[in-house]
Amino acid sequence: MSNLEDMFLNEEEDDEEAITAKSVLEMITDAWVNEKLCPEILPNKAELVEVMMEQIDQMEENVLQLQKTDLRSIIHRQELERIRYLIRSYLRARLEKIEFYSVWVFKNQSVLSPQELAYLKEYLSLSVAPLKNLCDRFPGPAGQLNPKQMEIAPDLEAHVFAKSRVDLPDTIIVHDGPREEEITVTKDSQRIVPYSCIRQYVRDDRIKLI
Amino acid sequence: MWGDKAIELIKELERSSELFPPFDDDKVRLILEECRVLNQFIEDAMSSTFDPETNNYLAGVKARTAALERNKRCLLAYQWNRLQTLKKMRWEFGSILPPEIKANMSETEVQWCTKYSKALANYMKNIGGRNGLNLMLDMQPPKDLYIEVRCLKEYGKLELDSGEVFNLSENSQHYMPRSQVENLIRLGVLEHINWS
Repeated sequence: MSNLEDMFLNEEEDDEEAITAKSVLEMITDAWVNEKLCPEILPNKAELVEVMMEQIDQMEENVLQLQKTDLRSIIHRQELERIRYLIRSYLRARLEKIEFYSVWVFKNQSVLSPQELAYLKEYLSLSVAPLKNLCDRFPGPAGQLNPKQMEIAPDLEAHVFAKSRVDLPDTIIVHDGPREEEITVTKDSQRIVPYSCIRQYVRDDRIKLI
Repeated sequence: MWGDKAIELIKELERSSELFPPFDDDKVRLILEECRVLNQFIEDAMSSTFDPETNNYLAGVKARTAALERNKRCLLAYQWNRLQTLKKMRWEFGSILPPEIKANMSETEVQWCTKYSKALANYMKNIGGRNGLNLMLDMQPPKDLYIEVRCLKEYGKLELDSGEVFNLSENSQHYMPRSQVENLIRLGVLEHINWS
């Protein structure tokens, strides 16, 4: 797949643009992989998605100018389909987490894009309604919905495969049950660690999940 | 025993072989009735005067409060899990759910479904540039640009974005762009023919 990407994106006439389009695609791919593997919802990459969507529109126009039977046209269109899948799948993965951990995400809403936040609010209010209906039928003080009981929090202690992009300046401390271990993280090193130990680094893109 | 009916309700939902079993309103009502009796006892106990010699209410009240909480928890879990199933089906089947599932939904659930669809539509309209982005497409990673499909139902003419017109009559086979027929495959109009 990466071969095709090279072929496709380097073929653009405007060289400078090709570089940005390519790096944006790379960033989105990373964001997608991270989002799929991460137990919690990560800071949103809405600007990237937006840029990529514009790119797609533009590339689509370029493709239309090619002959339909042209091999390049087929390859380009295939690539476009893949990028679209990537973006959709990425947004879907986020949506799934937003829905499942809705109350928890609502408390940590800084990671959401404005559209996602609007959706979350709508989703929360509509999903509380059926539960509230049920509670209303309860007699006495039990007939109240306890917001604490509704919250589902992601398991931040879940183990993840992590790979570092950079040499980290500080060592990280890995808690594993009673044991505690201090590790120095160098570029490209890989490890299985509980997510909570590297949470801040994943969130600011210094460590990626694999 | 208190709480028996509630756990039964949940077990039934889990064990049911149906994709989406009917909302068991009778049982829900029975559970609520049980709760009413429990609550009555608690209220009576609260209004009686406290006398350490004769008052043996305390243990009874505690047990009944616990039973009430448990019933409530079970009922909420029942409803919540049903909504999760509905949500999953909404993604699988699109906004129009099959009639046999619709028949099993409670009124609250029908309302919930409509609102959920609307919320999703709103969200998809607001992302991805001017035309929005339909997240219902591309549920599987794309393999081929074109796929071979067989038409299972009489559908009539279908015009593609490119302007080509296909006549989808029953049992006809076509070679079409995947992105444009995905929806029809999900609706059961077309069937993807997989040679491999």
